Amino acid sequence: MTTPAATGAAPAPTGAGASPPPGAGRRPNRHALRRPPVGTLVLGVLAVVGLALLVLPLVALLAATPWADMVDLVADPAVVGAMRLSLVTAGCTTAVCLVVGVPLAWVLARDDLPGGWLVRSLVTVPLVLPPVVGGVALLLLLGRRGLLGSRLDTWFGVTVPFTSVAVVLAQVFVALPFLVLTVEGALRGADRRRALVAETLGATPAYVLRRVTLPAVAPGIAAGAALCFTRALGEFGATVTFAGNFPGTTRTVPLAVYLAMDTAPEQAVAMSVLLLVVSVAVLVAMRGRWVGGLPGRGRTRRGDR
Amino acid sequence: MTLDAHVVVERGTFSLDVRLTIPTGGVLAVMGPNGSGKTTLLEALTGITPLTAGHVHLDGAVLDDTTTGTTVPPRDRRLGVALQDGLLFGHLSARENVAFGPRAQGTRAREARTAADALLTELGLAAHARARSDRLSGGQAQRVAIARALAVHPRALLLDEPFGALDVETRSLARDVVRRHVARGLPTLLVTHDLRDALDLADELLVLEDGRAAQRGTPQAVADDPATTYAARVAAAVA
Repeated sequence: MTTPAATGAAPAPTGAGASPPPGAGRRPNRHALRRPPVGTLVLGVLAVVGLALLVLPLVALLAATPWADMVDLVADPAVVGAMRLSLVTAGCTTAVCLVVGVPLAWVLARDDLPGGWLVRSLVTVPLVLPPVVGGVALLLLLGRRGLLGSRLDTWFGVTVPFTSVAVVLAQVFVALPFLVLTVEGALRGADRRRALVAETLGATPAYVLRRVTLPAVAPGIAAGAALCFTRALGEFGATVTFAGNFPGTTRTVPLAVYLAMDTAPEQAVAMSVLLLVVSVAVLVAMRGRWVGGLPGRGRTRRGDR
Repeated sequence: MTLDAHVVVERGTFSLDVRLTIPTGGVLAVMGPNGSGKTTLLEALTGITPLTAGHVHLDGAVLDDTTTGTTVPPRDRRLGVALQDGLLFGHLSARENVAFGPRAQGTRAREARTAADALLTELGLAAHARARSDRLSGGQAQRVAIARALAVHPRALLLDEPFGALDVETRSLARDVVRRHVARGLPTLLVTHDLRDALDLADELLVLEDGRAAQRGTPQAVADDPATTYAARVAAAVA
């Protein structure tokens, strides 16, 4: 149907586009096919350099790994202790972040929040702040002479710094923004009209959150929790400043790695590989759930027309 | 039970100003071109869209009155609402979608599910009660949305193009179900694009254009003597 009518009706525009002055317009085209323009080439090279910057260090790490002694190195009580501490504290951190972070994200996602931009800025600051500074700040708040710490000490005899609790607090400080911002994004993406429907059906805001909104954003929450956990697992600066470096109570794997670099480099490498494996495993597991998490798919199929 | 309203909504350059009264068991069909304010009118009655001025009275009770500043939140209005596109809760089964309203209002889960199954059966969806609602076809989803609106034992029905995605057969089935529930005394507002829905179900037809009532009358009267180009085109489509 297109052939006779279309060519008959509009010969001028199609003709002009398809056959330019013979030779003149064609050569650059063929040229473009054979060799990409310089700009594209430069972009490609820069992209490869970028990827290399990310991947090559890890390649070097894996190349230096003493695979044969791996089991012995990792089974060392000091390593096992640090790993257990890391997993437990990062787990606690993720739990704390979920409990307080999801409500915070929910508040941030509301458009009617007065001064919402300010709250969002405050949430974002720890994200851009050097973790060491976070550690110093925590110390000034909760240290023995700190703003709150002095009260805690005189009233309850509680000292937070240099305990496992301090490790968790340091990790929460750096990891919470990741969770809050991820979940906030998911909440904003969730279809608000479904929440309105739920309201017309007699649901209170809390009920809507529990049975409509949260299930819809579950994949986003899972992604936020994964980011939060891996970030907590790798925390170094705030931890070493605020919680110190005591075996068993505050020496998490990153701290142990740093220490071992001087004394037992092989062990440092082994622990690094261990961290790499755990972190990647978390991301892969969460990603699998994300992709298989379906609500997103169903949501876009209908309702978004 | 009578629904009586004067709805004024102003949003930017768009303004809606309509008066309507729907008696017990009466159906008011609202038709109009896209952007004429049909959905805004319906959503204003649900309380989702706040009134700029006017009132909404249901059986003497005040749901909205801008002169006194009264407004009952959507969740306390007990209206049966089906918004455009169904908007089911995709992660829940068809049954849980229908049981959602009663459960949100404290009915026990088992009781709510039994009632939901009965409604789904009525709408020819018994086989799909357990299906995740985001796996349903457009027509099935639309019927679930109708069932969900009916399940809350509403005091009035507000349906926004509830039959749009239905084929001829399920359409007449769904109309019959709505008719049965209306007959129990529910004032009903039915937004539709199809004059046949109005002719079949409605006692009165309101043609809405640019936020104003361009014509009112029985659906047959409007079909016989359309007052606007839009109404004439709609009438011609079923003639």
